[in-house]
Amino acid sequence: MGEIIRTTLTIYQDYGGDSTMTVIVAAAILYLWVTEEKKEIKMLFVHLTAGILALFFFPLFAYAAMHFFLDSQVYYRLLWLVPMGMTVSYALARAVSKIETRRKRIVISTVFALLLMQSGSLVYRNPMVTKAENLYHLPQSVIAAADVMHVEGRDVKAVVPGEMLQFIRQYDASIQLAYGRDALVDGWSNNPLYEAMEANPVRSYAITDYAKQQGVEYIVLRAGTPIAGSKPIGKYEFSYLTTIENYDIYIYDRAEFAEEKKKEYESLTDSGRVENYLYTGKQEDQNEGI
Amino acid sequence: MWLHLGLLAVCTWILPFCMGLLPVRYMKDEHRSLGMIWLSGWMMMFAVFQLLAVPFIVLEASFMLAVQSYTIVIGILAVVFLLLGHGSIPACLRKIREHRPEKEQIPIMAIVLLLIGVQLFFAFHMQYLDGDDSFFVATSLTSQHTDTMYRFTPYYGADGPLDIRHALSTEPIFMAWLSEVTGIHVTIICHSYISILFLALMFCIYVQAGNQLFPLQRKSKWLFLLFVNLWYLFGNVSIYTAESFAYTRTWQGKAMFPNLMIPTLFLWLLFMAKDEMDVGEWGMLFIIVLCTTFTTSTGIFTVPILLGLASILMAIEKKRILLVFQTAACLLPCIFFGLLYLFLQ
Repeated sequence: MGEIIRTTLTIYQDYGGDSTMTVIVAAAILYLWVTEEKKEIKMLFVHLTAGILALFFFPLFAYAAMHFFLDSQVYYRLLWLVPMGMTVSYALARAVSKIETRRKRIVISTVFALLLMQSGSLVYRNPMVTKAENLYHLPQSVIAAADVMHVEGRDVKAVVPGEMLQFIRQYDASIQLAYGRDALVDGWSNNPLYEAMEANPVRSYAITDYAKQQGVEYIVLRAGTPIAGSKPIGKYEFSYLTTIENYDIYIYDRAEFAEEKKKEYESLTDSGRVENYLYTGKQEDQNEGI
Repeated sequence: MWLHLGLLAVCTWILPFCMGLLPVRYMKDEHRSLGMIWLSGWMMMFAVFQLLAVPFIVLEASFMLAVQSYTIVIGILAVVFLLLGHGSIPACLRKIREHRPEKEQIPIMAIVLLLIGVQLFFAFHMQYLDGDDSFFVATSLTSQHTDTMYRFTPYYGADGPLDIRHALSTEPIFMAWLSEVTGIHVTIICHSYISILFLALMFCIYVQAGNQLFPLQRKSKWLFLLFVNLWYLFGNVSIYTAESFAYTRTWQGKAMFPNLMIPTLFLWLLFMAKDEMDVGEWGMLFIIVLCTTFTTSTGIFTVPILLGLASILMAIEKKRILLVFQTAACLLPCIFFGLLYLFLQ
């Protein structure tokens, strides 16, 4: 019982973050409880919201909800049933409407507006909100790499660096992946190719061998990624195709479309490119336990 | 390009408007407005899609068959609803003429409209790279590419059994339908268009709520809307808040649920609390509940809690036990989809 109470309290605290959001909501409910004369408004914004919050914290309900309906990861969604914005905005607008002089109304409205701004966090100041690079709102580098790999009339299979995983299939669903976004989340996937791709340096034998086992036709690496092994990637049937937006793309030589693609990108290949390859001896590959 | 944009305008403005005409015709006069027509129309479109798409998904029919069926059904319904419900339009236009803004409320109205305009501008020009899009948006695109629904994992494209956990909430398939009909890439639709459109729809809902909360104080209504705007803009206090979801994943069903469905349900609860429920309002409550299942499976469990608790409180307050049964009847979609989920699991 103590565990479930602690869990709900943590979820509630996490919901409001470091802000005073939940305090403002509680103050608004309290204000309406004391001053609101309209029964219907009081019933919805005071009794109903208080009832939902009481249910949220009620241990038996929380236990049943987390075990049978919503898991603890999404239990916070129960708080969405409390119309926080509507309740607070109504309480503030109502408080202002009770003020008699226009000048005071303007001053108090400004104070309330500043209070909301001060206590919250502007969504556009979130570091994850950035200027859109294109109409897809996806990284341009992902679109460029996907365009290189696309083959008309058929699906292809690729393995890409972690930062591309969640975007590439939003642009082109004909590009299948050896593993997806689930690899980024602990416990969702356990693909050894992901470990091999994210190693530093990457082992040429490991990534190409796992890639072949999983039917991968393209390997995409960050340009300049250190590659170690007894041979460079090109010696394991994956030829360098091109570099685009700081990503090196390798193609499987035995892929049906390989020759055509190589011809297409022949003129675009940087002849002066030097792979960041480090010879580590034959023993290295044998020790990788593949 | 203009053909694609024209089709997008038809699907997201004309169709919802036509679909909203009939339900609004049967609503109380004080609830009728152009905003209410548009809002009701969207709810009708979502609800019809949910009813139509779920059988196709469960029977593992092709995506194109679902697209063709919905296009035909919604087209016919839009024409029928337009013919039967066009009488609502003059009443709504008359209201606009009668409710011209007073001189004193113009400055605050201008601030609110400016704030909304800024948010719509930013929704188009700014991006938030949300991880869950690799499921939801990719599900839409994968459906179009494979001509299946919820069969291929959107994360990497492998074939598998029907994903029943997500299959009963058809919102990503609706986005795929929109893309298929307009010929515009679904990711562009979601990230550069729906992100704007559904924010506008959200504020349209709050305008209706403001009309109910401050029926005679129009200045207070605009002040209420100002505070709503600020609350949302500064509501990014954690990744969990409804406000964060509103801006960063507007097009996802799980963002539509707290920002479109819950405020709409509260608007309807206001109607209920004020004893302003007519045939149209009760019918629409059923439709809105159906829409909550369209957006996310979370709705199947949480909406009965909200409406159940509200109806019990109202029944006690008004001494009318009938309210509980009427509300329970409106909750049938949640019960049905809940049972269907358990059966298919």
